Amino acid sequence: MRVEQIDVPVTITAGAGATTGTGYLPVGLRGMLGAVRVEVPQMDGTTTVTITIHDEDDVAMFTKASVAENATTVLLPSDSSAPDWGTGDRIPIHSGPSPWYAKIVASGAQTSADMTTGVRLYVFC
Amino acid sequence: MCVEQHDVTVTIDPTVSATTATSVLPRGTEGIFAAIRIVMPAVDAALIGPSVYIVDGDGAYVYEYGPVLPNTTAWYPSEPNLVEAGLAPYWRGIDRVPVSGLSSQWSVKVIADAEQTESREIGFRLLFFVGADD
Repeated sequence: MRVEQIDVPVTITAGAGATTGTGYLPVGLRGMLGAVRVEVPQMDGTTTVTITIHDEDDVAMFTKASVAENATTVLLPSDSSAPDWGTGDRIPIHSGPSPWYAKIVASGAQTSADMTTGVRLYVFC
Repeated sequence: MCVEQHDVTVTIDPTVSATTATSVLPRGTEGIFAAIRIVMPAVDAALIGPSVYIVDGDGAYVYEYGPVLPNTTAWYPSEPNLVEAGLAPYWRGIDRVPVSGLSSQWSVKVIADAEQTESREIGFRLLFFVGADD
């Protein structure tokens, strides 16, 4: 078994009501999600973000709310609320031919500058 | 280890059966069942939605999940997280649900809790882990 480390950049472009950024997973990435690492900087008007991973049809495969800003957090599959993966469950990743994507939604608008961050996925292949 | 995807559509046709429909999985489907995405339309008696099953070649239920809420599209784990009685077998998170359609035809089945007056098409996407994992 190999472990692939995939960095998915996500940017929330500054503006009124700017809360959401999206980054696509590589086409062809297939395997079992091991962990999600996210580094959230200090943000404007925001105390937490929600991290999600979606399939190509916008259906959530992983959801974790209330991830703190100004911190680096490692999330486990069992941290997901929707679907509610229990301890020991394995999250399949099947990105492609239409790519899956990661989304970050901030609790408040990013107004002063773009917020550039991203998620790092560890995938067993 | 890799992941394979199979899309299956099940249609409850009131002229055939007002509550139950089955669609076979592609012959040769095998692996560790990982997750299922269900596209559930509006149904009659919408307060309680249908239950879905994966059935082996001899008719035994290998996976049961339900009720699935109407008008929803969501991924569900291979482990039923519901606490309702009657889920069988109750795979825990540490378990691995096998699917092996090499020698027999496995299928996906839907049983609605009330008779349907119109045709209901329900979409499924199944993901499997395949290949060596060590």
